[in-house]
Parts: sequence; C-alpha cells; structure tokens
Amino acid sequence: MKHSDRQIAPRFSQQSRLDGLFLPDMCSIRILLLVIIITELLAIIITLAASDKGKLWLDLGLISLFVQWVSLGSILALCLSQSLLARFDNTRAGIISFLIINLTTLLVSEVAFSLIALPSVGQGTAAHIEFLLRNLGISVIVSLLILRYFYLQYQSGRSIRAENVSRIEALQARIRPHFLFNSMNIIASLTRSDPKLAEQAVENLSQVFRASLSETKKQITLHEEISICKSYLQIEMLRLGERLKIEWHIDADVENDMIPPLLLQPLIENAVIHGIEPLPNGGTIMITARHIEDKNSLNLRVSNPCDESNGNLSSASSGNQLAHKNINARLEAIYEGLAHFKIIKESDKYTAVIDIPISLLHKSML
Amino acid sequence: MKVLVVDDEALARDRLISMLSEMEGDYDVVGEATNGMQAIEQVLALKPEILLLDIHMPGMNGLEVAMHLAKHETPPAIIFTTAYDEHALAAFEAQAIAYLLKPIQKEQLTTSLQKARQLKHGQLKDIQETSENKRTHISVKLRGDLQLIPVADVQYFRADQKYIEMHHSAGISLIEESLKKLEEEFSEKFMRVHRNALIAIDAVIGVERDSLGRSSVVLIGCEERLDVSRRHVTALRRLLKSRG
Repeated sequence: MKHSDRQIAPRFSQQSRLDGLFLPDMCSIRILLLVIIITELLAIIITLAASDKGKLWLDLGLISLFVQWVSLGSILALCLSQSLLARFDNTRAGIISFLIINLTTLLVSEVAFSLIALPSVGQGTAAHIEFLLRNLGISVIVSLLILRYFYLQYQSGRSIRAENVSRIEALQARIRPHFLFNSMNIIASLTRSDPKLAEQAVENLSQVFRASLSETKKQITLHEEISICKSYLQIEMLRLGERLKIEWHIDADVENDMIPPLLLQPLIENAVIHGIEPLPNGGTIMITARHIEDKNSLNLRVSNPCDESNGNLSSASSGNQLAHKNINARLEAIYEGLAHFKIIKESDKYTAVIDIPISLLHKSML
Repeated sequence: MKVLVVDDEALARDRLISMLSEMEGDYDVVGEATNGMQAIEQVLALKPEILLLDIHMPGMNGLEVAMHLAKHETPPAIIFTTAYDEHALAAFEAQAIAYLLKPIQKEQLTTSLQKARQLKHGQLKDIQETSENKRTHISVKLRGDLQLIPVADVQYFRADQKYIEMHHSAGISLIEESLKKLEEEFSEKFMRVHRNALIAIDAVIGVERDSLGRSSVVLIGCEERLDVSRRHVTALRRLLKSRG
C-alpha cells in the first residue's frame, strides 16, 4: 500500500496535501470573509472593554483599522506560505502558522508605532515595548483560539469521512463484490453448458448470501456453519476446478456446539483467496474442528499452503487483515476476551486458529 | 480475426469462447491459456490479433502479461477482463483501455473488440506505472522475439551507457529500462550498491575490502566482484549483520 500511495501521490498531490492539513485553504474567499468578521468582532470587544467615555466611535475606527491590518497581513502571509506549510505535518504546520501570525502582529505594531504617534500610547522606549507586548499578548491568545477552532473543525470532518469509509467497508465485507461477480460469471457460463449445475450454484450462492445478510444475532450449530462453508466451497470449486482440494476433520462431538454464524467461513474464504488462488497448481485446505480436553475448549483450525515468495505479501494484504480484525472484534464482543484467535505462519503453511472455551459455547450473543 | 482467450478459470474461458462463436464477424479462437506465462508463449506461437486477458491470475497476472507484450513488435490488441478490481479499473478508465467486467455482456464485448484495435502501446506501460503490481519477470527483446527472465533469477543489474546489463542464472541480457525505476519497483528484493549497480539482496554472500579501502560485494554464482560505493557500504554491512 505504501508503494501505491507514493505512485499515485504526484497526480493528486496538491489536493491531498491540502486535504491532509488541518488548516483550511487560506487563499479562499470564504476564509478571508470569516477572518474579517472575527477580526471586527475582536476590535469591537477591545473597544468596548478599553475605550474612554465619548471616544467610542473614534477608538473603534482606529482599533479596527489596526486589527484588520494584522489579520489581513497574517492571512496574506499564510496564503503565500501555504505550499510550504503543506510539506509539514499538522503539529509543525500549526506551530509555523502560529509564529507567522504573531510575527505579523509585531511587524504591523512596529510600523504603526513608528508611523503614527498615538496619543493614547505615548512615546519613549518603555511605551514602545509595552505597546508591542500588549498587542503580542492579544495576538497569541486569539491566534491559539483560531488555530484550535480550525483543528476541531478539521477533526470533525475527518471523523465523518472515516465513519463513511468504515460503513462501506463493512458492507463490502458482507457482500464481497469479487466473490459475487465471479460467481455470477460462472453461473452465466453454466446456464449454457450445464443448467443443472447452474441451478445448484444458484442455490449455494443463495445460502451463502442469506447467511451473510441475515441480521439475526442468534447462534447456530457448528453443523449449520459447516453447511454454509460447504455451499461456499462448492462455488469456489466450480471456479477453481482441480486446483482447490478440501480435507475436513470434524469430530462427531463438536457438531452441535453453538457458535456465532460466519465464524469459520471467512477463514476458509481467506484460505481460498490468499492461499490457493495465487498457486498455479492449487493446493489443499485443511479444516479441523475438535475439542481439546485439557484446555476444555473448542478448537477450530483452517490451514492452507502458502507460496514462500508470496507468503509475506498475502498475509499482509488488506483484505486478509480486514477479515482478521472482524473476527477478533466479534470474538471480543461475544466472549469478552476468553476466546482466542491467532495465526500460525510456517514456511509453507498458514494456519488460522480459533479457541473458544466450552463453557461459553452456549452463551447467547449480545 | 484470431483470438486468444486467457483465464485461469475454465468456466470463464468456456463462456467467452461460446459468446465469440455466436458473434457476427469472423472471430476465430485459436487457443486458450490458463496463466500468464502460457499466454505469452501462445501469443508468440499463434500470433493472435486479439487477446482476451483476465487480470487476476496466479503467478504472472494479466497486467504484467500486457506489459511484456507491449515490447513485442506486433503486439495483439488486448481486452482485459475482471470481476472486480478497483485499482485496475481506475487505471483503465484514465487510459481509455478496453476492459470487460464479469459476467461479460454481449454488447460490451462487441464494443470492446472494436475499441481494442485502436489501442496504443504506450498506454499499457502507463497502467503498469499506476498499478501497484510488481513484475515477476523481466522481458528481454531477442531478435523480434520475447524472452522472459524470472526476477528471482536475477543477480544484479548494472547500468552501462544506454542499456542495463541484467546478470541472471542463464547469462547476461541487455534491457532498456531505468535503474531508478527498477530500484523503486523491486525495493524489497534489490538494493543499490553503486551509482550504476543494483544487486539482489538474496544473492549477497559477503563484502570484501582491498588494500586501498575500496569495498566490493560477492554474489552467489558470480565470479566478478561488484564495486560498492562508500555511501552504500554501511547499509550493505547492516544487511549482512541482520542476516547473522
């Protein structure tokens, strides 16, 4: 993934960088208007708080003029340094913008002090320094507030986006477009050559999707789960032919254990996609379900051969990780940390293992 | 028109073949291939004009097949087929390359067959650059023919003026590529040891140093020692150390 990001980056660099930084586009009219309004409100606050009797309008005019100069100067500086800021992460960009704003304040204050001899400020070095420090104080507080505001706005936008992405991912994990369209292609082919087999494929496909799309939180027996897995595998066998071989080792005493639906199937699907498909000559998936006496648990294992040169790639692929994350999250939610899921990687074999304490097998789902 | 159908799934090939046989126009399926290597062999042997090429195949995938064939003097027009592949589709749409989504529809097959003939070679290279695929083979042009060398058999690449010498277990081949691109593509398996040399990490046996303090690297199956420039010595030593 890292690699592809780097390759795609140049084309969208401008956009994605601006998108990635918490600062909004400082060159946009919207931000300019927003800043002018905030600045004017600030000028009114300062005037209301500090103005002498009867000089309200005059003070407001002067203060507005001054504060607007500071704000517009800062915006201009930020707009000009936007491409530079885009090179940094959020923290650094934030610090740099903070410095830019406050330097602008000092600069404008300095110019104002030397150009106009304000009677209220007075003259002399002490008055000069006090004037600069007062302005800097206001500017530090206000710039921090504004940067914080931008940051919060950015975060809320980002979390909305993340939520949408995860919703789509959850939907895709359920209907698995690749599997759906491949199956449809097979059925389309079989309707001509072998309508009976096509009929069977439709039935199998329906069973798999009914299980995937059902909202019920009821548990099912391991026997039922295995039947879903078998339907799924029959479709994959049509597709992969000789390349896909399955070995079942299901102990008789486990078949009535209750488990959450679609616990085993995603592991088998992973084994097909990441284990068998990359191998030109295919291989055998071994599925084991048994009770381990001394640990008093139900032990489910799905193992597949893995191509050594491909092993790292396939186990790290995003689809695989998503499936693992889902299984972990479900086990955590149902068994509260007492069931375990792990992956055992050997040089030519990849095994996924689930352990559920027998005492919890009949626990209903939340 | 001679057509070659490439897909690792038998039923998918059957469907395409029967659709082609019912189509107007003289489409003649001259062969079928079940993987990438076979596809290239068949293209060289049967010289089809159109290739219906599945992307998702074990070993060498369809995109890589197309990349290698683009170097051929008279490559066939290529139509990709795929069930669902977001990355590839984005690249195709950007490059206006013919592709078909499974299950394939008859009208779309007809339009693609027409569109495929107008495809330019350069566009195929662009797909490779935008997709995250890494090649499994390097293609070498050999008097109008194509020879494929597995990347796993390559010991090192050395830049020499205009060409790159590729040293592999079956000899030396000249290829027209850039060392920088090769380095980026195979960054997991190859490392730069000199301005002009990229070596296979797995082939490294050790590092030697001569009386003048210059370092060179010893590779499996190579008598020649390759110079290691000063700035790459540390990285190479670190690699050897991590291996123990």
